[in-house]
Amino acid sequence: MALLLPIGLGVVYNVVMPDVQKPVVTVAIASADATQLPAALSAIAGSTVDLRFNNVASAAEVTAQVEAKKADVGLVLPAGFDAAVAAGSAPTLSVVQPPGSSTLGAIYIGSALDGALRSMAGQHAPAVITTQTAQPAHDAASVMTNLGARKYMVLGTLIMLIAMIAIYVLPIILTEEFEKKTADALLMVGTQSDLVAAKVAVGLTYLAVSVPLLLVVAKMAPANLPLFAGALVLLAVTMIGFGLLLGALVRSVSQLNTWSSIPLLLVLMPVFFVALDLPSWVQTVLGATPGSQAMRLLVDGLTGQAMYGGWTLGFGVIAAWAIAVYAVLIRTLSRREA
Amino acid sequence: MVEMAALAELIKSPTVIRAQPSTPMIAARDLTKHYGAVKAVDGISFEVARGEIFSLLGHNGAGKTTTIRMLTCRIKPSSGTAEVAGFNCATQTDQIKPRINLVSQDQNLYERMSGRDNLAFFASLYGAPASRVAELMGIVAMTEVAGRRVKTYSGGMKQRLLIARALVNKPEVLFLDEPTAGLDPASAKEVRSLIKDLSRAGTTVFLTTHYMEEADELSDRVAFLAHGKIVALDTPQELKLRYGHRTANVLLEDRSKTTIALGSVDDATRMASWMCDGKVLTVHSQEGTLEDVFIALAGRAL
Repeated sequence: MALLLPIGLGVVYNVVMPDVQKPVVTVAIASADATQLPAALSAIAGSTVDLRFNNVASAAEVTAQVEAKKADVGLVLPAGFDAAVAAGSAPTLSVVQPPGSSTLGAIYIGSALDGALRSMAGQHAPAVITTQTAQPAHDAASVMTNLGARKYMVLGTLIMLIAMIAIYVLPIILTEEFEKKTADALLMVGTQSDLVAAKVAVGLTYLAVSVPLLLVVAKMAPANLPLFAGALVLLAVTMIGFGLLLGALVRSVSQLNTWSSIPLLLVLMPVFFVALDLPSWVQTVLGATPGSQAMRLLVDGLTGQAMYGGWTLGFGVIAAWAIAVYAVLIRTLSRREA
Repeated sequence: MVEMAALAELIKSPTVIRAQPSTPMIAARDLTKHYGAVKAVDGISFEVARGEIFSLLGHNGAGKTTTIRMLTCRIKPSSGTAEVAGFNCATQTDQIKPRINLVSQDQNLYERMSGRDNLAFFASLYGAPASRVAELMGIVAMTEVAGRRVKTYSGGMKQRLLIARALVNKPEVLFLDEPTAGLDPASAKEVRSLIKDLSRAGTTVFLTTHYMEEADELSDRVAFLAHGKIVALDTPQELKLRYGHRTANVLLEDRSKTTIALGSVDDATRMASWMCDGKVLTVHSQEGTLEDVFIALAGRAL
C-alpha cells in the first residue's frame, strides 16, 4: 500500500494535470514549388512557439484544413514564389484565416510573415533583435509557472513515496524484529550498526525499484541527473534514519501504527509548502528541514536550472540531519540493548 | 533421533581456529553488571571446560539472562571480566561471535518463512555453505517438513529448528536459555537428547533452566544464582549430597507410610525396632533433589 499509493497518485497527476507547454501553431501551406518560407518562419519563432506545417496540394485543401480547424492559419504560395521574392517582384501570398475572430496562431503568423519575407528577400532587418531569457525568480509563483503543477506535484509524491517507505514500512520491519525477538538472533551474528545498515539497504532497495517506476509512469526525466539522484539518495538515507529511530523508540507494531502518521506529516508538510508564497521567516524555518531542501534540489535537478540554487546549503542541511538522526538512532539502540 | 556421527562431523569441521583444549571455554572472573543502584550480577566467578554442560539455575531476576548477555557479547560488564574461548567478551567480540551461538526461549524464528529458508538466511549471514542447511535439517529430523512455513510447526519442531539454527556456524560454545520451556514432555525429551548429543560431539553447553530434573539429568556441573551471586557450584551429585535430605520411605504392615532421615540416630533406632518386630513391608531410599538444594540455598522453590 505504501508503494502503490504514491505511484497511483503519480499516475493521477499525470492524467489530470497538463504540463506547461509552449504554444503550438499549425499552418496549412500549399506551394507549387519548394519554398524556404516555413524555415524562415521557424527561425523567427525560435523556441517560443512550436510551429507545425501541414503541406497540402492546393488552395482548396488549405481552406478546408482551416475551416475544419485542423490548422490555425493557411498560406497559399504561387508558383515561383521564392524566386519572385528574391527578385523583388512582390508576388502575392494568400493568408487563409479561420472564420470569426482571428486565432492567436493566425495573428502570430500574420505578424511574423513580414520578417520572414524580408529575410527571404535578403533584406537586412532595421534592427538586430537579441532575445534573452530572464533568470527565473525564486518566488513560488515563478517556480510553479516554469515547472508546472503536474511536475511539482509528482516531485512531492516522489518525496511522499520515500517517506512512506522510510517512515512507515521500514519501522514496521524493525519493530517486528524487536517484538518477535528475531533481532536477538541477528545480533548474535552482527552488531547494532550492522542491523541498521541492513535495514537502510532494504529501504534503498525498495526505493531503487519504486522511484524509477514513478518517474517512468509520470514521464519525467531529470535534466540534471547527478543533482536529482544525489538529492534523492541523501534524502532517502536521512528519512530511513528517521523511520528506524521511530522503530527503535516504540515497543510494538500497533504503537507504530498509532504514531507513525505524525512524523510522516511533519516530514511531508514542508515539502508542499516550498511552492507557497510564504513570509520570509517561514521560508527560513522551512529551509532548515530536509524535506524542503530536498524539494528545492529536486526542482533544480528536474529542470536543469538553478531555480532555487544554494545546492551546497541544501545538501549540507540534509546531511546534517542524517548525521544527527543516525547518531541518535545508534545511541537509542545501544541504550535499549543495555 | 540424532545421527551422532553426522553431528560430530558437523561440529568438528572447523570454520574458525578453535581454542586450545586446556583453555577454559568460558571463564568469568568477578563478573558484575549493575543498572544504577541495582546489581543484576554481583561478582560471579566460574569456569566451564570444553565439552562440559554447565547449568545456571536461579529465580526470575536472579541474573541468569544478564550473565548470558554478557557472555554472548550483547552487553558489557560493569566490572570484572568474561572470556569465551580465550577471548575477552567486552573487547574481542569479533573473535567470539563466530565461535558461539544462542538458543533462546523466545522461539524467535521468521514465521512466514520456511524452516529451510530460516536456516539458509542465517547460513548466508555466517558465510556457511548452502549444503549445511540440508545437513542440519537432517540432524534435527526435520527434512520432511523443511519446506513448510515455520508458523505451521509445533512448539517442539520450532525448538529443534532453533537448535539447528544455532549450529549453523558450528559453535564451540552453545548457550541455551530455557530450551525446553513450554514444550510437551515428548518434545522436551527430544531436545534434551539433542543437547546430550551436542555435548558428546564436543560442544560446550551453557544452560539456564527452571526445570531441576532437566538440570540434574543434563549437567556436568550446576551453579545456583541468587540475587546476582553464585551461592553454590558443583556437580549435581555433590550438591545433593551436601544440601539434600537423604531419606527413606517406609511402608509398615498396618499400611501406614512414614519417612525417616537416613542420618538420624533416632530414626535408625525406630527403623531397627520395626525391623525386629517384622512390621516393615517395603523401604525405598530417596536421595535429595536439586529442588531441595535450591530451597535450602535460596529459601524457596523455583
